[in-house]
Amino acid sequence: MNMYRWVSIGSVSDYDELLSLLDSEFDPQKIVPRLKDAISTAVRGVLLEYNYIDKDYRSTFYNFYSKKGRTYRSDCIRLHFFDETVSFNESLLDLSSGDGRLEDHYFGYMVLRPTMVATIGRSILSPNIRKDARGFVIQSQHRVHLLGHRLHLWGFPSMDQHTDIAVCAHVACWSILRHYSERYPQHRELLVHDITMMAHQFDPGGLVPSNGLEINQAERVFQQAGTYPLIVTKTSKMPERFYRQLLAYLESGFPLFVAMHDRGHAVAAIGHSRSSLPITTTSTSSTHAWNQLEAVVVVDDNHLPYTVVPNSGAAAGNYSLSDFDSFIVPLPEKVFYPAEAVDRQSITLGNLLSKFMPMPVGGDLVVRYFVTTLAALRQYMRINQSQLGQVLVNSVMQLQAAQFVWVVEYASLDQWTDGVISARAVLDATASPYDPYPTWFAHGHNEAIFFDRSKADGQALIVPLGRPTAVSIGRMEQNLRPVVARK
Amino acid sequence: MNEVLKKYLNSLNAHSVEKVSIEEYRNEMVNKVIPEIAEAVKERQRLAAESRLWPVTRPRTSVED
Repeated sequence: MNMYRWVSIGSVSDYDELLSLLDSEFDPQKIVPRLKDAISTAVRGVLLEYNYIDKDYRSTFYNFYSKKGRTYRSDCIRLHFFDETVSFNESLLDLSSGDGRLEDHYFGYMVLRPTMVATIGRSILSPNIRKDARGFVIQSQHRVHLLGHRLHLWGFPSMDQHTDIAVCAHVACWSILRHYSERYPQHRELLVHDITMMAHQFDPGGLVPSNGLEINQAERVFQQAGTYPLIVTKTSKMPERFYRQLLAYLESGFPLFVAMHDRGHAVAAIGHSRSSLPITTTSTSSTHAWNQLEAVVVVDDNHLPYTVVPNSGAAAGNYSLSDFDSFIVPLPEKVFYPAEAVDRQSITLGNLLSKFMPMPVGGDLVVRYFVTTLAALRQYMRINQSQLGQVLVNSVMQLQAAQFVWVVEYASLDQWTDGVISARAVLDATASPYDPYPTWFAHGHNEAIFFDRSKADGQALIVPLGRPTAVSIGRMEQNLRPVVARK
Repeated sequence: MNEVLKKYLNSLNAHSVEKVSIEEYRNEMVNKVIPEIAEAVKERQRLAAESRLWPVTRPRTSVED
């Protein structure tokens, strides 16, 4: 038997060839319709890699499946997805693309486990080939070794739940933590078996079937993985504040463990999509960027990744954002100033700024905030040096601040539609919620205010920026990557 | 503010924000915003404590689930 088989995809029905190429343990009868339903026509070739050793499946095989009476195989199959320029030479066992840049034409892989039920294992797929995926998505770059080639692709990890040892909540934790270990070198890689064991308060004597998961168990997983989880729960009194925080942390690049208590389901929220329609409001008070959101993008273990959950109505998972009732954000150390503090402080700070720089007022004001690192802020300033002016760039390069900062952006309704802003404030993410001066600095088009936070009495200096007057200041789209649909 | 930055800003003819504006801002923060934040943090922690024991997930009851 060949280790590799190539399936050309000219039309959706060509996926049916997989039915004869995959053993029944991999449940091809379920896999093929899911591929047909969710993968765009940009995929024109699938390479099957047989006898693939998958570390996540092996972690459950060694600790669970090998102990069962039924015999389970230890090997997996990996499906790799390519565009129309790629071809496979069976005698040379090599892939080639017209331009010699194979990874530009690679859309990722999907591991199939020999578990008979819920067989989709560790998968990294590009959101660009997911039908209906849109907006901005948290992604990290993954490295793939295939036929002697080292390929890189951007995506977010996903898999089906195992149904017995791991339920949807374990999978949501695994997805988020695998993203962390790929994205941030200080986080170690955790396999499915590790995640399942970490959810227990004590070692139950090995891996045992799970009856479900409570929020505190998911919180424990994130704590043990070295993150600092924060639980935010929706109230019927002020649901909008819940969604504002959800968006703020998402835009900060933190994937969220989202619980739907009434549905008994959990997913990982990893992105969002803004409506193409401008924000309209009759309110006399400010609006939050949340009001333009039409959907949140999630990894739901019942579907292929990048499921779009709409603000209203039902999505593929038959739920909408109104079903979200709690989320856990696995924060890094040193983000002490919570989103609910920024939500309130930013309006008062905006009032102060309006005395020194033109600011939208009342119902015309749109506010948005997110966390980033000082290094990322400086990188943004460097890239946008001509837009921001040398004074601001030099000042930020010389600012001594903590590793994480909150960025608050103020725009009018029209500016928001155009993707530009009136002013931006940068707050200390390590500030206490009781600190009256959590702001490092703020800038508009012509001036910047730098707060002297070494003093208790809130001294501040205003400096003219001397930047080009006709140039707008763009919104910072920092932590998420746009989905570029390939059809 | 670090001395290097202060020196740089002063070299660009920076001037101080007048005290009255800073005082107004501080008063609003101390008397209104910070108590609201404190209340919101307390409320979040209370709700988190309640929701910790929510059984949010369960295993599939069928392969179609």
